[in-house]
Amino acid sequence: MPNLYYQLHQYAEHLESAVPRVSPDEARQIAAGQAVPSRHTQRRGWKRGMIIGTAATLAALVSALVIVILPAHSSTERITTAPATQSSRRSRIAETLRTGPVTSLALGYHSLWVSVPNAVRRVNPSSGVVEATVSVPGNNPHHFVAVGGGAVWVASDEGQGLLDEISPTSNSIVQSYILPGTPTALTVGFGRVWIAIAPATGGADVLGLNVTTMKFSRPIQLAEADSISAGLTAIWVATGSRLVYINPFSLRVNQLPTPNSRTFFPLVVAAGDGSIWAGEQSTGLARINPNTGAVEAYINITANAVSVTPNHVWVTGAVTSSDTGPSNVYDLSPSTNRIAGKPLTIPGTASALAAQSSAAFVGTYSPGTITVVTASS
Amino acid sequence: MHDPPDDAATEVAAFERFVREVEIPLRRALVAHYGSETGRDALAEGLAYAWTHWRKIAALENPAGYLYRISANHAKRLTRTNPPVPSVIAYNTSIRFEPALPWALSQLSARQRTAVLLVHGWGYSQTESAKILGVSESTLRNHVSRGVDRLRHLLGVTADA
Repeated sequence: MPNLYYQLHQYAEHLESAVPRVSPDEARQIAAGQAVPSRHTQRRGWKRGMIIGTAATLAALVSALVIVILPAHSSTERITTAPATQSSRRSRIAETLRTGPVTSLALGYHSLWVSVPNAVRRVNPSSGVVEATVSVPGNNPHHFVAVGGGAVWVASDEGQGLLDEISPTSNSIVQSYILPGTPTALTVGFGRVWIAIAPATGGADVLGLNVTTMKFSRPIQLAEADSISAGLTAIWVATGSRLVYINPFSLRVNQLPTPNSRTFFPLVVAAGDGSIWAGEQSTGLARINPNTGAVEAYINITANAVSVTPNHVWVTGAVTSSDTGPSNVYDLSPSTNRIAGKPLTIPGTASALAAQSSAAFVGTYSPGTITVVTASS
Repeated sequence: MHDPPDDAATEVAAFERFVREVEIPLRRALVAHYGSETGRDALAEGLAYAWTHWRKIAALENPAGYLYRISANHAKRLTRTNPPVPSVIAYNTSIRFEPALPWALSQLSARQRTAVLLVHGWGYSQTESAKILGVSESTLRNHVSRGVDRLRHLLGVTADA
């Protein structure tokens, strides 16, 4: 970890920002018995909150009874309410684009970048129009696209592995880098392009390409790297058997401070909205506190891709165990940890997911479509 | 309850000046030692004590160090009667420290953590920090040195680039 003292300073500032100051007036009021310190106030407030809460509940029950018992006498306007266990949000399929087999999706530079065999397509996310097609070598499904650091990055298994840098200005490849293994995941963050590769010698390596110096970091060795995400001060890697994070500056690998107590098999990971979201393909999605490693919520849905935007966690997962079957698209509210409405089902297995604000783009390799899903309030 | 001072306005002004001077370093030290909630409550109780016994406090050579001990006693009482509330750090992208740092700090002794955060977190000199905590400078140096060594060990830091 570079510069421990700098980080201590940052931590101290953060710690202090959460604690309000004690004023001379407050001290005098406490001395005069006219006030109590905040913790006691909160406890009293808790009791007061209970009383108010109970009163509010009773009032709500009475209101509900009035509505149920006296519908004919009230207004003719129909009042509908969402079930208590679900958010009132509903997602809908806005559009389906036919683009060919989609291997990966990324959003950036006002465009949706779609990786398909032998090419990357630049699509206008509003109109669905393909604005440019950039030929890239390799026609395998193992293509990954990511955006950031002034470029669009495509990792493919061409040869032993290749990383192409596409300029969003010229829509052409400006540089290619030979990788020492087949790419398994790709992300951009903290001034580097992070590529997880599977070298021929086994295991997994994570490489960081500095987008300023264009030099690769030393390989960071892991047992496996199925998914990678940059955010919340670290690079998070799902290794299939645990979650690890890489300090993006020192490149040191750590586990979460407090390992999860139960066996955990994360295959996808996304950092966002203050949490780490890790999906176990066949069982569910865990919301993990990055500070403690504690699983704060566990949602029983299949999850093969996760994307986090403000107020939305988008998840795709198979409806059945079949590799070619339909997929569900879930819109999860991070404030309640609940699925908004019913999941949307799309044909084919979701192979890629990208999201921005309240819209998600779900790609399939077969039948080769991009489904645009929007969340409405 | 304190006796009304002879010249109330002067006493109030002196107390307010004193609080302005010591509140921030005392709050930092108590929060680093006892956590956000208990640390702040203990400081509020300590400053209330200072107002009640203002003439005695005003006459002390190191009133901040004395009040730190008074507040620490309140903190101990609070933690005895109310279990400490765990501090939760809400992560967001503006935070620029390693996720394991809060955990590593929690592994230090409370005195080491307080000394390390005062000196390296908030940038007080060793003399100022020793005065706030009411300890000798050599004691403070020991706490800082051992605390930083332990942090380095826990976080695997070999050098500060």
